[in-house]
Amino acid sequence: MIKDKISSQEIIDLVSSKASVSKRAAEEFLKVMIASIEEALMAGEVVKIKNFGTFKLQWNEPRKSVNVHTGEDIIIPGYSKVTFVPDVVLKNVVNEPFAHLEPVVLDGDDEDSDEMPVDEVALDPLRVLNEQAADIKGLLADIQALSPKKKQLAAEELSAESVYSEPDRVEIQDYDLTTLDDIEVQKEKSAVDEHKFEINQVEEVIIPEVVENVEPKAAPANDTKIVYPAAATEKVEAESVIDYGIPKYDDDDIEITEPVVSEEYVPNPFLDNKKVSKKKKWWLGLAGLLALLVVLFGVYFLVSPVRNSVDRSLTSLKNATTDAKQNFSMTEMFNTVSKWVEPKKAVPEVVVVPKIKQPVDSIGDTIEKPLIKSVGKSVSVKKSVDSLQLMFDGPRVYKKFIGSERITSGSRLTLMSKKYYKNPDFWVYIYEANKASIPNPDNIAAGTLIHIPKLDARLIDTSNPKCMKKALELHDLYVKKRQ
Amino acid sequence: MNHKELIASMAEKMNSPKSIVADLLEKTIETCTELLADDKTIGFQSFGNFEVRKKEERLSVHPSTQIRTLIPPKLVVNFKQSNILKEKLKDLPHHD
Repeated sequence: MIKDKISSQEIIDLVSSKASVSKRAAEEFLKVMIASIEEALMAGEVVKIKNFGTFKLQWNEPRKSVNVHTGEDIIIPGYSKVTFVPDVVLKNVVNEPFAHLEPVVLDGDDEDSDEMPVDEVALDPLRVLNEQAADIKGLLADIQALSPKKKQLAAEELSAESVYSEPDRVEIQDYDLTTLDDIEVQKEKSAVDEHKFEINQVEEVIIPEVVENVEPKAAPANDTKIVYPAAATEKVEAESVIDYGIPKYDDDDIEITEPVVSEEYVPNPFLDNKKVSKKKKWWLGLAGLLALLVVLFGVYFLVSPVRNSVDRSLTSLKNATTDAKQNFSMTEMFNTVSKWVEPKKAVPEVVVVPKIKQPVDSIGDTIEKPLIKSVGKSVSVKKSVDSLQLMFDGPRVYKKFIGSERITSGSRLTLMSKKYYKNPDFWVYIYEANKASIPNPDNIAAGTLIHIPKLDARLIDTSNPKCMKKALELHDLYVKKRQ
Repeated sequence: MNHKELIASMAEKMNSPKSIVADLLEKTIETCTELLADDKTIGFQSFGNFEVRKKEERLSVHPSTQIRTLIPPKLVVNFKQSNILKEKLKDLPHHD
């Protein structure tokens, strides 16, 4: 209250100097003003002063209270009270120091509550599928804690490769899925026990060799992969596929984390034989992985790196390395791949055990054979899709023409497009072919000769949404350019 | 009673033209506003005190949508009637 309190007298002085009137006049004025306001309030009126505020009388109801000292109930009688509501002008002037502040909507809690459900959704199916998920996670943590950090450089190279082979990936997976069915049929025919027995044999045969050749750290991980290549690991692999497939990781991530996953599942080896229902999923996932790894190395060894994708690889590489959490050295990865390749070979010819015998010694051979095969096929499969993309991306050259039209007052490129290509949206291609003679597609000079280009049927496929989308994109491009 | 009516009643009491009263009232309001903006307390004897108070920032939660909003701090003008005025008002019959 002490702080800078201005009394009535000071106000009178200020007003008198400001309005250049005598102090007496100012004093009288102020008195009259207050008296008038009081009077009006007494009469039950609301007093409104421009740019200042509103005075109002408010009746406070009588209420019960307690005497603090005696504890007796007392009744506070009702009373009237003058309330003042400042005008907007006064409010703004006074609140100037904080005027720039605005209410902030806090999303913090919402984000948290959003994130949690996502995690649960990702985890729940896991739990449903396998009650051991929790144990496995614990094991993963242990393993990660134990395993020392491995060469990051190598891992970077790996992820870079994975980017190179990116475009091929989807098609290859498709391709492998078809062969998969055969594999599955074969496998189902052979008795499971027999199957397992053979695998055990394989295990015995291979482990020593692997241990010899592979550096100690990598060995355990790789061993396990060979040890349970088929029925035994089905469940384990199914997990790995589900684990990393459902949370929507990128292909890169899957690729790199996959070895990690199989490593972490090492501790529960033959536990999961019962769950035969997972077979299908596992086979799909395994085949996809095999194809990915094979192509990855194929690209790495046979094809020179694609320059354009280097930048992309660098960015995705960061994500990949962080997501993967574990870095694999080049040699480890190499060995891992060889293991992945072997099971693939072994599976179609389930009964032919000896073939698996020569794994690590002849890594080069085992890799290269399936690799060339799959690369060749994948190329042929993806051809149709990629050629369309090429047509979209590359500059289109129009050499053949299926007709020509002379512009009259009523002609439109869209009408021509509808006439020749069955859809007005493809007028952009006519425009592209006649760019030289059309300065403005919206207003073409009468008498201009328009050549209708012969377009690839795939480019103007009205049933293909990609074509329609591209046409609309081009439309936007050309129309905007004019504006 | 609005601004004009107030001026009219004051002019009648002071026996002076409305224009002068209006001018004086405007100057008074201006002065008060300036002082309040300067974070000063204005005390009118027998009427009350005008004072600037700071409302601290607070977290408001929308009752139905549960959206939490941080309301920034602000300065507001507060009026507290004087005891003299309060006593006067006590005589006022309450009709409700």
